[in-house]
Amino acid sequence: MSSPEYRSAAPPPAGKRLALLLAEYATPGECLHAAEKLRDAGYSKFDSHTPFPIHGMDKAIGLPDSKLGFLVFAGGLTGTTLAFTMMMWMNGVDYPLIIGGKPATSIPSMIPIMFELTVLLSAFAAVFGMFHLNRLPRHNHPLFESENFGKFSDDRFFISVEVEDPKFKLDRTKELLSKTHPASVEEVYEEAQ
Amino acid sequence: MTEAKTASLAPSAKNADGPSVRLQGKNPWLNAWKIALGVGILGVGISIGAGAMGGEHSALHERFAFSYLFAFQVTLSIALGSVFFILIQHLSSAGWSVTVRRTAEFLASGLVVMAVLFIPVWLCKGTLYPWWNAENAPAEHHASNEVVGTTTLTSHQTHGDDQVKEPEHGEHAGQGEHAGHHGDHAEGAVKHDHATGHDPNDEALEAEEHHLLAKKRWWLNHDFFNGRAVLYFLVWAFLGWTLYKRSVDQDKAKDFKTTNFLKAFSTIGTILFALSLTFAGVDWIMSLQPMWFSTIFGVYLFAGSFVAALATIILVTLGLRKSGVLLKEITVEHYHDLGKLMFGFNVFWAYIAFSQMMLIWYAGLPEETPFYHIRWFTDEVHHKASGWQTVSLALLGLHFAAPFVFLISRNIKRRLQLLGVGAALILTMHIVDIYWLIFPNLRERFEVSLLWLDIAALIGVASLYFAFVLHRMTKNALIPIGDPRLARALTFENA
Repeated sequence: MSSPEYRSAAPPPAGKRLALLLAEYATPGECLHAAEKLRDAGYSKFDSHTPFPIHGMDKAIGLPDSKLGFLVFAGGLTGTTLAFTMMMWMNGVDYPLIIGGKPATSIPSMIPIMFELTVLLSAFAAVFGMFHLNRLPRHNHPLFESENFGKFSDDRFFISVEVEDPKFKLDRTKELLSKTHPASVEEVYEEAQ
Repeated sequence: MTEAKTASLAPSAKNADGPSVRLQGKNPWLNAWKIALGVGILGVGISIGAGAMGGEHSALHERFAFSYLFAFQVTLSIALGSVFFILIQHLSSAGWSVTVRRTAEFLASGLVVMAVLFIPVWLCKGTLYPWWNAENAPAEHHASNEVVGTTTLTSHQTHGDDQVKEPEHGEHAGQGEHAGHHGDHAEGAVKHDHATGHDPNDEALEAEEHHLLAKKRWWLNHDFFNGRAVLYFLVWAFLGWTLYKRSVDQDKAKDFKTTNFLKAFSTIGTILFALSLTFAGVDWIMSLQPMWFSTIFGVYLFAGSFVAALATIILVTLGLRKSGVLLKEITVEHYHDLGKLMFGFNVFWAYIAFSQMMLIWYAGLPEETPFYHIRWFTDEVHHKASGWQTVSLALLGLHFAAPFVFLISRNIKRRLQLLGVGAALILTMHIVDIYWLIFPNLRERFEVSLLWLDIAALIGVASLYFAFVLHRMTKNALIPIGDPRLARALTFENA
């Protein structure tokens, strides 16, 4: 077991501030166990960056169930209600037209529209809700300051711990990460505001 | 599921056989087939006895015919839905479902007994299908008209037969009596006269229906009907038994050849499955009301069957789990996926059901609407509520809406008891669905009714089928221990 290689010098570069600690791993297993260690140590603002999904990573990070489902459900329900109200108003009240001898407020003819609007608004809620929950769009992320980080889409597995994490203390976090067999641990800086 | 757990499971794919995948010792499932056999013989015996007790044209006999057809169709739909489950797993080379597939294979193997269980339906064909007796047996025509009762559609149909077979239809004694059923029009011999009123369109409508039935004679005739029934059962026994037998043989052989064979077999199998299920539905359910047709009917039956089969697979595997087997082989991950499939195809069922209903409602064609007419509106003849509207609404609320809201949550699908509740609800409503398809065609009683005979027949037929299925279970491993993809199923997780 070789000691990890530290990529950053101790004094922060001028005009920059520490954004996160980035640990690099050679295997998905090490990455998963590192996440479990961080979770067990009480960290909450950390993430994994891997070339492919790793089974069990959600639990290892301690992620709660996504709230997206509720957003989609609300979007769908809005679509159903909106379509029903719209058709009821247009065909039933505002400008009633008898078509095919059916009553103006026939529900069966509204169902395809209710279905379509349900699907449409569900899909909108899913896409834009996902953007919102992922805090997108954003122009840049401090992770891209690290030259090493590009390997996350090739053959390396990363864990990043944000400084905003209440448990974050540079020395102790670094020490904790170094116990998880990383290939390297890097301090990543961003422009100070 | 953590890595540690999957890691401890993974090697066991090599020696998966063991007490956790076999029914042995004091497992209550070992003797279940004997109980099922006893209950089945009792149930079928009682209902056949009741059917035989009344004369050939008695109300009891007719009721038995419909009860038995209902029981048979419920059972058949579960077996056929299971076949489809296996077929798509092979076609998609699914890894996750390998451990669940064996339960479906047991259910599919039961198709070989369905031919025997069909015999009472075949014997009652004259009572069930209004087009049957009208054709070749003029002597029975009178009697069949007596049974043919309240719906205007069947009356058209009988007239139609007359025109096809006997141009001098006006002289039939049966028709006078027939029209009498419909109200005050004693002049049954005048064929335009019936209870729907004095609409001048009736004449045109009736001519159209005569024409339609004459056109359907090439399909709805004795020899072709019998021949098709033989063909369906040959195809189903072939499908069900091949899928089951080749898979259990693989338990010992542990070869890749079987897996490749079954994948190729499933391509042809899926086509055979789709055609046989559709046409059997046309023959045995749609032709209860021979004037009516719907091109999506086969898909409707298929959707219901697959949902019912998934619900049955969930309930059977949960039952096995309760007895202490398949604890690590079929995990919450598998149940979650089965739940997702069941949820999705239940929505598909509703989608097809609505599509069929909306097109017929929108077009309002007189030869199509009676299907919904007798399932929605009040009885025209007796001017009282038939109750079928309530059943139709129950299908909407409890087959679609309630399971939709209940099972949409991931957490509920992953809680096995709640998933079991959802599966039980869907299976129950599937039985109601088949009931709703068959019983409104009962000519003696137009209203909704549930007789002890219906329940006895259902329990009887289903038990005989399950006796066979449960017996297969005692003889084989409960998961395909020789399947090369077994390891993938044992370590499966939803991402």
